[in-house]
Amino acid sequence: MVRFVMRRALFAVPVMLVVTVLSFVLTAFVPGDAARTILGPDATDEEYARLRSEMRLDDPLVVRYIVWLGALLRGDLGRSLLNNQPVVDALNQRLPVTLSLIVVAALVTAIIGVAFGIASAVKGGALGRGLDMLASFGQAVPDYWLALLLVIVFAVNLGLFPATGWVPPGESVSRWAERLVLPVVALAAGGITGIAKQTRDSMLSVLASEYILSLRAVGVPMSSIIFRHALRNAAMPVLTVMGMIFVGAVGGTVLIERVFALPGLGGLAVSSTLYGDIPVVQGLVVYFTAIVLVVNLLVDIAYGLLNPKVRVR
Amino acid sequence: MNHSKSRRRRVGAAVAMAVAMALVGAGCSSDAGDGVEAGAVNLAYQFVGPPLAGLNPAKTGGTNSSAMFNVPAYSSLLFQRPDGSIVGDLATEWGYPEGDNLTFNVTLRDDAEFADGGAVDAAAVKKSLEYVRDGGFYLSPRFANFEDIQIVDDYELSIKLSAPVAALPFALTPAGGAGFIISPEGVDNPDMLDNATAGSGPYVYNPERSIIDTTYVFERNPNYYNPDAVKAETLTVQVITDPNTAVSALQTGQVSVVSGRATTAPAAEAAGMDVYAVGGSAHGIGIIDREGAVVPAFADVRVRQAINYAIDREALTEAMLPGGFGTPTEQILAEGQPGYNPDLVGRYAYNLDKAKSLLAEAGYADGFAFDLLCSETVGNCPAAEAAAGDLARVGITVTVEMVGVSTSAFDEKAASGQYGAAMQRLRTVASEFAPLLLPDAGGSSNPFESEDPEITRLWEEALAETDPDAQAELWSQMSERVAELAWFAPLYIAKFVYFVDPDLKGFKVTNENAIYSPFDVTGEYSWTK
Repeated sequence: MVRFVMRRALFAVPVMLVVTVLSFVLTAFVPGDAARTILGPDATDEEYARLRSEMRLDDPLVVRYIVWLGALLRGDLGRSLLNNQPVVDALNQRLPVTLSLIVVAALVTAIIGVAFGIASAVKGGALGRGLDMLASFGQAVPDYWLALLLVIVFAVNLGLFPATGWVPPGESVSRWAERLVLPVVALAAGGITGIAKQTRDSMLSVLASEYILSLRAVGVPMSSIIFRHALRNAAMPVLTVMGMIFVGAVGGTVLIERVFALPGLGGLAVSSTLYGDIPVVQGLVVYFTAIVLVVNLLVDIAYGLLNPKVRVR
Repeated sequence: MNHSKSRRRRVGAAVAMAVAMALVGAGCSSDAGDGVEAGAVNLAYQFVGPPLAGLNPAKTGGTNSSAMFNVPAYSSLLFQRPDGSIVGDLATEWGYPEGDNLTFNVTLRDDAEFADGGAVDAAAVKKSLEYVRDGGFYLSPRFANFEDIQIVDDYELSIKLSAPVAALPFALTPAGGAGFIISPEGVDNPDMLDNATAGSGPYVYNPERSIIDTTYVFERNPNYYNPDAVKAETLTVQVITDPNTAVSALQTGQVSVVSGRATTAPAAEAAGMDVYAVGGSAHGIGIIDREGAVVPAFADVRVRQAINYAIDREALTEAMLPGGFGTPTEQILAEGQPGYNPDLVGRYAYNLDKAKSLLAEAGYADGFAFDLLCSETVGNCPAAEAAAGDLARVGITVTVEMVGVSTSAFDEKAASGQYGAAMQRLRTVASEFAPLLLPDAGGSSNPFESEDPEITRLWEEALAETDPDAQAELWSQMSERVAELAWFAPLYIAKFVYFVDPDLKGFKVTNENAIYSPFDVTGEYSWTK
């Protein structure tokens, strides 16, 4: 198992390199730059050229990438071109917000989605049909629209939750939780229905297997059949979908953070890209790629635990 | 079996109940305990705009948005009150003793201290002004004429100017952007100013409670010279980029003031919020290629005037800014500003026949074509499209090129010299028009370095004029000359719109000073609840 994990972890290195090179090149083609953002519309060509030179924006792209990569290996992601803040500080300050959002949304998605899926597979009938409808609806409704709707209903009209903002859990767990409820619901809604449908389909397939019939014939309790035998075998495709939903949620945070004015990485990704803050963009690419790689690794480990045959591949 | 089922159901119900109670409990908890003392007034207001280049007022001063960040922490030499009048902040007396706009004397109050305890004396002020002048900042050109800043005594300065500075007292206010005084320690360690403050204002920025580009928390400065003017214990600038989110945050009491839009005004009004629409700046088409380098037709003033006649400003303004949030205009200055010229109202009243006749006289009876640059981030592309529709009626084919990435990308294209026309937001006050009207002052605002001797003469005379009324008359003449040359096709004055919590006391904006300030040096308009 350790070798299996090590193999998967090593695979992350070339992925990280390719992703950072691509983002570096693509960022270079974005018109406008940080120097012009800082100077505004009235700067003369000379002032603009001087600041570009000071910010080393004139250096060839390859040189800038190598310098950046060298610093990265020392754990230094540079400083923001706009506000001079160390990029690592800026990202670490925002990481807990985005991680809170993603992890809680993933847990909610997994628990509720799997529970609905099992219930629907076991009970069938109206619940199954309802779930099909809900799955289509959940995937059709944009997160952004749902988020705005939740704000209007639960924050503005009912006053149950705050419309915006963030409180660190270290300051107050209850206030951290209340601020996460609506964003998590908005982010998780589509995933819950997707997971539920996938779980139901997988469970129905497994429950129709001969070995399940045999277990039932020898009097094994239904709860044991479902949770010890059927779910374990049905979990592989569910895990795949869950991994994809989790990775999708990383992108989804960009809009959700905007609607709820959450100080996470998503909002920073938008502003730093728009205003040519390349060191921040690169830092974000590293963090987001790391998150995705960790998720994929966890999914792989879960595969390995559920199915030992995977470990020898 | 039945017992087991029943127990599981009970457990399930209990868990569901616990989750529901936790959520509702969380939802019902109060905002009063945000790490601040109970009973204190803690106010928050929205900021929307490009990310700040740090908190250093030398870097960020001079823009409308900077006032929101700089006013709490930095006192300035002078202060513009909501009625437009200029009063002393750190200065108790100021003026041109020789009446020639070439020597400007300032007497400082002797009881002001920086937040770090240092005295705000003449030496500190001189050091701060020189730092801004020599630092190569956005604001530096405004102090370029500060040839020699002399210390007369501990609390008195005499500034020798190499040439008159446009509206110097105004430039030294927060609205003018150039008068924030930074402590000597801050000047010596400029890197610290990016995420900290070093001023003598009523508040001090707390980086521990703030997240750059998201939340900026300012706490009361115990060393402030006039504590009675400080009404709120903390001020929080909350960056909210989505206009609907901003209104929701206002409705739920998380912020007290947000920048409004015509599109969200009905929702704010319906929710019982106060809606203010004041002042504003002109938006329109900058016909920037006045020599015809890219678009030969633009070299003929009759063509530029024809463009002005061909636009139905009334209809366009009502379409872009419904509900009275905009005013059609043919001139560059808004009503309420020195130099606003009422005689120019109707100067280019919508007249297609006149437009066609001018085009024919200029040799363009069959029209011509040009590319018009607009910025999606600024939001002026719909107006560009509407104007293009009007111009098509007189045979002018306009291709609207939308720049969707960022404001800086738009500026880069406008400065490239490859476009004959670009949508422009003009300035609010006449003294800030140099980049648009003079040949050597700006980048993307006047990329072809257009020059008119008459405009330059009026500009220089206005700078040298010490009498405010006479100066306003010169600005007015300059505005008239600009309209006559049709360097621009102004469309409308977009008012500054604010939505405000009706419980907020002290909020005040006017046509004369449309940029709000959470703090007033006299205390009369300092915000509280």
